[in-house]
Amino acid sequence: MAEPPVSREQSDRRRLPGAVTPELLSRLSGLGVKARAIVEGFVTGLHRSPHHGFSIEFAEHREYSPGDDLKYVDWKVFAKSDRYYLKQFEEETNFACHVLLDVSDSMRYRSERASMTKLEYGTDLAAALGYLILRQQDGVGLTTFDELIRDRLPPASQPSHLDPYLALLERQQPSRELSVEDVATAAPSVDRPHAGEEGLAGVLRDVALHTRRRGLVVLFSDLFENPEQVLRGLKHLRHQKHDVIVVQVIDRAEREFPFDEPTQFFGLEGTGERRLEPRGIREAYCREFETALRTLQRGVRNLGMDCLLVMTDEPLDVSLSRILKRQPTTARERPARR
Amino acid sequence: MNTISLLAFGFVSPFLLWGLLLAGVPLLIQWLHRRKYTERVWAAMRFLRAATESQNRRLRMESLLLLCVRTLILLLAAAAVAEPYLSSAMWTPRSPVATHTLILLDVSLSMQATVDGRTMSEQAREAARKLVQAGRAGDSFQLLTIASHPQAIVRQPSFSSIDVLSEIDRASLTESWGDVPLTLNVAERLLHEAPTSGRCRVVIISDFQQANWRLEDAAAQERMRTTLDRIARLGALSLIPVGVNEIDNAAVHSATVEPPLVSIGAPASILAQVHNFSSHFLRQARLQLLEEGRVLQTQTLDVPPFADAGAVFVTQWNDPGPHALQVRLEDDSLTADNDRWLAVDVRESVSVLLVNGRASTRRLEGAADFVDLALRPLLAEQPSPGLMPRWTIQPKVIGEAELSRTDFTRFDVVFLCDVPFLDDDELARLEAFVRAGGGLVIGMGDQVPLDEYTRQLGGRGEGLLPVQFVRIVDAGETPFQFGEPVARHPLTQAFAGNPRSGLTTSNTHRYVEVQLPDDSAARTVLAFSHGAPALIEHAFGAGRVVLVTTSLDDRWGSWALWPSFLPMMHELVKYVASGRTTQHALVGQSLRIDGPDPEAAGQTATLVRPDGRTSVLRPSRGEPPVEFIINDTAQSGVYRVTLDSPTGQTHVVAVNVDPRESDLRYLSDAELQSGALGATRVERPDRSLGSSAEAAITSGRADLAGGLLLAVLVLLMVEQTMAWNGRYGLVALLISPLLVAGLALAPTVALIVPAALVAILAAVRIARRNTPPTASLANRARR
Repeated sequence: MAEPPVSREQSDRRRLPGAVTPELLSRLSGLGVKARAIVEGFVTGLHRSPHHGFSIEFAEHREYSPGDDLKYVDWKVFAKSDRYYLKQFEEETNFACHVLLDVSDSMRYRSERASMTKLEYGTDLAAALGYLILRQQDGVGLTTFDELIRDRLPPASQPSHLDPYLALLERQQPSRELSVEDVATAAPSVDRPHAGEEGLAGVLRDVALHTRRRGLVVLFSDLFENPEQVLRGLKHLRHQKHDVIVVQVIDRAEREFPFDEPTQFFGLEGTGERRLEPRGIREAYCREFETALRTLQRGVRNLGMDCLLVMTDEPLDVSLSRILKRQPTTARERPARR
Repeated sequence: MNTISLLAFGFVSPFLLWGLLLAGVPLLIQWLHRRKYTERVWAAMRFLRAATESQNRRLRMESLLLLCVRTLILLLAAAAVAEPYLSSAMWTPRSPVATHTLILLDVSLSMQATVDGRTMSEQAREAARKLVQAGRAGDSFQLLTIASHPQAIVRQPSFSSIDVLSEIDRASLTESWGDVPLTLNVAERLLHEAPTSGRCRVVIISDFQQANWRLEDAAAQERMRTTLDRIARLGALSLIPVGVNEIDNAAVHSATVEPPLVSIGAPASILAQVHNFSSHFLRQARLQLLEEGRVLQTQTLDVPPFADAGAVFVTQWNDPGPHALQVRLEDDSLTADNDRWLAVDVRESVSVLLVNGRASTRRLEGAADFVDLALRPLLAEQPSPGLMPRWTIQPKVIGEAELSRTDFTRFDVVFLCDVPFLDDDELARLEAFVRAGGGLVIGMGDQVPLDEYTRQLGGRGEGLLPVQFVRIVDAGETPFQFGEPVARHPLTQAFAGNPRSGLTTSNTHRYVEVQLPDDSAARTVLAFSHGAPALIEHAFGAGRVVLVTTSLDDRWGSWALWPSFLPMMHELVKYVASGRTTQHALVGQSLRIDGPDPEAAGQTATLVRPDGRTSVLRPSRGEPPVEFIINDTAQSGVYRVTLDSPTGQTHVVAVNVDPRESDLRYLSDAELQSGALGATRVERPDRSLGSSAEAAITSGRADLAGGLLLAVLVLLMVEQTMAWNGRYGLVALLISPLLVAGLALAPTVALIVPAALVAILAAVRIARRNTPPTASLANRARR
């Protein structure tokens, strides 16, 4: 399936002075302020965009034909063009959005080039998404998890629901980043894929069990697990007829592995340590990473879900826009036309 | 006995091998490097683990290979600085480009030495032939002989190997001395003249005899070394030695006749000196004296190693004229130096011209009167026939004014007695006379212009008598007396130890102070008791000049009145006339024969060479004085020149080999490097190859420094490739030997290909740095 073209305005959003970049956002305090900034940036961009999101009433014009209800005639257009056009509106329905946020240690990684951790980035996106949904009087809920489900906030559509929603997100922000010393001195923990439980698959199964009502599920995670387990968990959501958007949040360094000097890597989540020459391993690493990425994306799409890859150095409003439009890749990652 | 070594390896600068310690640097860096890991936390350990598990062994191998390559680079670079070489009998460096080769072929006498039934000359020719045969299409050759007169047999570069081979076969072997400095100068000139554009090399095929290649004069040796350096810069210099370490040889290295002036019926002694040039004692060596092929006498000699032994043959002749003698030693490895030739002109009389610078009508008042009286005392007193010697001195006195009209060639000796003036023509004729073997005695007197004599006779060190006439010294009240005569000199040996001869007791009141410049070839024969020179001699051409610093009459002393004066005058005549009566030369030297009539044009002469070949000689120049010059004296023996004149006068000249060629000791490899050739980069000579011409031609010294540097260059590229991509690096490492070999065979490509490859690699690397690796992978995945 051909990827939708990106408008010029959309790609230019990155360079706009008002773009909500991670650097800008990291200077703001308070998740509510951040969420508002993201959403406002997103809405500002919306005015310049011909595309519409899933929760916006889609309007279209068609020529009047005898028998049509006159109350839908767009008189302004008639005044300008002396022709009859009808405005058409999609029927709006209230829905519940379940936001799933991975708060495991691996989400606390931040490379030197990035201004925020994956968790911070995911948290900000979740906050903005919740803010936007609640502004539309739709319901939003939040579930945080690592190996297990840690916190749950059932969906609600009252405007006052924003406060507990943001408060729960605020609680996920760690006081400081994990250092090498923290990781090196920490007792080896159980590797996620080898957890006694089923890891992310178990978490998703639990989420599916607790959210009977059909709705939108947005999963924020780096998904550094076995793709098969992830897909197995997603199948539970699919079984419940949920509309699922998988947002894979990664740091660009995790994809490009841009290290040159000999490095001792300390795995987060107690995954051991490795001393190696990054230049010699880079190609193999990237190959492994891309293979896992492709496998996961293909599997997710086969389940009829949307899979988006966002990187922590991308503007948050752009990422939010992509989530809302279910745009799987950014213009930068799209292959050049041959 | 030499052993044949097919492979020899060494270093020109072995002390630079300390650089090999640099090989430890990568290991040290690696060791230090291991301790400097950057620590960082990492989330995506799953992929890192998967990547390392698949890559770990390969990475370790690549890391090890990279370390080896880096170490090897330093090792090779250090070894290259030490300039290693490989000398192999089985390997000859070849070049795909056209090569111009200048072959210096030694044809000197020592090349006639026989080893295992073959002469070294044959080996050298065979080596030269194979060198030419090994050439490829487009190769050119020049051929130059090493001899006293180097001959460019193939002067212009020849592309026809057949012609060059033919010339090698026809290159005549000489018995001359190998004048290496002169040959090298000619070689350098030839290289400059040769219009070559490709690779150039100079191959010297010689026995590298010490006598030729190790010069006694340090300055000359340095000049030769400089010349070799210049030649080595013009082309790769290769040496192919064909000599072995040492060959036993003995030679008759001198044969003289005593007295020098041989008179009819008088006994003459033939003094022969045999030198043993080997480390073995030469016992009962048979030495023969022959005349015209007829054995006159035979003696046996014992000659210690590296020492001389003398033999004396006493004989006499009853018929006047030239006689050709031959002293022969029994055959050994070099036969040409076993014969020594001697030409003896047995005289009935000696003609002496006395130039009287101060004429007088009164008896014994003229400047030459006492000499005239001394040279013919018996004639003056009309002795009885029984006391008459069978040979006579026939003096003729002329005035100074007649000098310009007198033909000196009719005389054997000329005395200048207090001659006040010599014009340029007279001086030139006197020089020609002495150069041709005549004797000249110069006596002082009041009329002698000292400054003029200094200028005319000195001739800036190259004249008849290179001395400086300073001033006339008066004795005052105490007369000067001659000092003790030297016993070893023919002129004074009769007076040495014989005070009653009256030489040391005669009084001299005045003499001319003479200074001998440091570089003067003149030497003092007899001095006054206070050290001032009294008799000075100088060899000029084939003749001799003797200066008497006092007068030859009684004006400046009483010597002319004393008994020693008469015998001294006779000895003087015999001594200075010897150049006239015993003509000899060395092989390669030109012979000069005066014509019978200096004024008559169109005269010819007949030359009979030692091998019996006859040719007609024509005067060397059309104007008087007439002289015949023989330049081709490549063969030792007797050269007879019969003048086509009514008198039919015959000149006999003995031409002998240069004794230096008899010493068949050769420069060792070390000496070739450090002594004669200095720091010149040469192909390593392999002495053992001399025993086999076939081996000699295939020998060559491989200068490995260039190859090593080439390998370093290639390995640097391999290292870069390995650092960039291990698999590509491994491929580069596998093909690197082929690359080095290919580049070694194509030097011009060696400059272009590595540079292009490095540029391409650098461009690719820069391009890859600017492109995220994931982009290409993502693209590939999408495709």
